[in-house]
Amino acid sequence: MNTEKDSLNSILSNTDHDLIDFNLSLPYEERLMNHQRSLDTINELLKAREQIYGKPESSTSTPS
Amino acid sequence: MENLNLLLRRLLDSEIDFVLIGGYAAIVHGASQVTHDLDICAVITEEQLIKLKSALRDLEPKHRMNPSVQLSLDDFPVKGKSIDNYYLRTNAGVLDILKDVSAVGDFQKLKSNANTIRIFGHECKVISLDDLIKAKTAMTRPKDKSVLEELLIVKQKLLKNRDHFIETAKTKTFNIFVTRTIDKNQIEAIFILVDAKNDSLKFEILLDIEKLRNFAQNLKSFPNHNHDHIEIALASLKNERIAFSAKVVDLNGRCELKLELKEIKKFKPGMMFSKVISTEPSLLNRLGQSIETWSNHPSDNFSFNL
Repeated sequence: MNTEKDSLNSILSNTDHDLIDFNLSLPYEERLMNHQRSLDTINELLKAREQIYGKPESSTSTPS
Repeated sequence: MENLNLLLRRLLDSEIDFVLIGGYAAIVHGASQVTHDLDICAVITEEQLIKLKSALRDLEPKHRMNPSVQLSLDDFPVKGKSIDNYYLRTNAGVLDILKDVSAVGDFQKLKSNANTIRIFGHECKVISLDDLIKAKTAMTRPKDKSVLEELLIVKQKLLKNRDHFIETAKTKTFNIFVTRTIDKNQIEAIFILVDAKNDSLKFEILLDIEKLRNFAQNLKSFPNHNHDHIEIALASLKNERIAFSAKVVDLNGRCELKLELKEIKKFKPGMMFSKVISTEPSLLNRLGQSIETWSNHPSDNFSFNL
C-alpha cells in the first residue's frame, strides 16, 4: 500500500496545479462565488443535455 | 436552481452553531471540484431546529431520503422528538446536516479543530484541512478520492509557503495598514511580506488598541542604557494563524506584546515586513512613540522604519 508521501508524489507529478494556485490566491468568499458560477454553468449544461437527450432517470443523491 | 451560497448565508444569518464540512469546505480550502450540496456538522437541538426552520422558511425544505414520502421539515421531526442527521432538499439545493464525521469525531471535536473564516459578513467555522483530509481518506467514492488529491496538494503548498515565509522574513522595515475599524478597541489591519523574489504574502491581523498603548507605555519605563535589543519577529505558526510578537529584552526583564494574525493570503505587490533586531537605544523610544501616536489615531496607517 502506498504511503501518503508516495501517493502525493504521484499526484504532484500528474496534476495541474494552476487551478489550485489560483484558488489559493483568492479570498475565501471569492472562492465560494467562483464555485457558484461554476455550478450555474454546469446546471445550464445539464439543462441543455436534457433538451437533447431527455431527462435522466431520477435518483436520490447520496449523502456525502 | 441550486444556490449553495444562499443556503450558507441563511445558516450564518440564523446563527446556527455548525461547522462547514464536505465539498464546500474543500472549496474554502482551495480545491476546485464542484459540489452540488452543502454539508454541515451540527447538533440539532430544539433551539437549533427553530433556527434551522427559520433559515429555510421559504425554501420548502423536505427530507429527501425516502423518495415516495418526502416530509416537510415543518412536519418532521415532531415536537419533542429529535433525529441525528438531516438530509434535506431545498429550493436552493441539497443540505445535509450530520451530527458527526466518520474518521474524525463528533461535533465538539470538529469544532475544536475548526478554522474560523469571515465570509458573507459572518464568522464561519470550517473543518480544518487536516480533519477534512482524514474524512476524505476514509471515503471510497471516486469523487471523494478526487477531492482528496487536491486537498493533499493544497496542504503541501501551504506548508511550502509557510517554510518559505519563515526563511525570508529578513527585511528591515514593517508597515501595518489599517483596513477597517471594528470598534473602539479593535481594528483590522494587514501586514504584507515581500520576499527576495517579489512573491508576497498578506496577513490580516486584529489589533487590540489597548494592548498597543500598554506596550508603548511599558517601553517608556525601560531605561535606554539597560536595554539589550528589540526584536519584532514571528513567534509561531499554527494552522495558518501566526503569533507575532514584539518584545524588548532588557536586563531588568522584558516587555512583550503578542498579536495574533488571522490568516495567510497571497497578495501582489507588497511592502516589507521583518524581523527587526537592533541595539540602537533611540530605536526603543521611537517605536514606543510611534505606537502611542498611532494608537490614538488608529484610522491612520502605522509605519515604523529602522
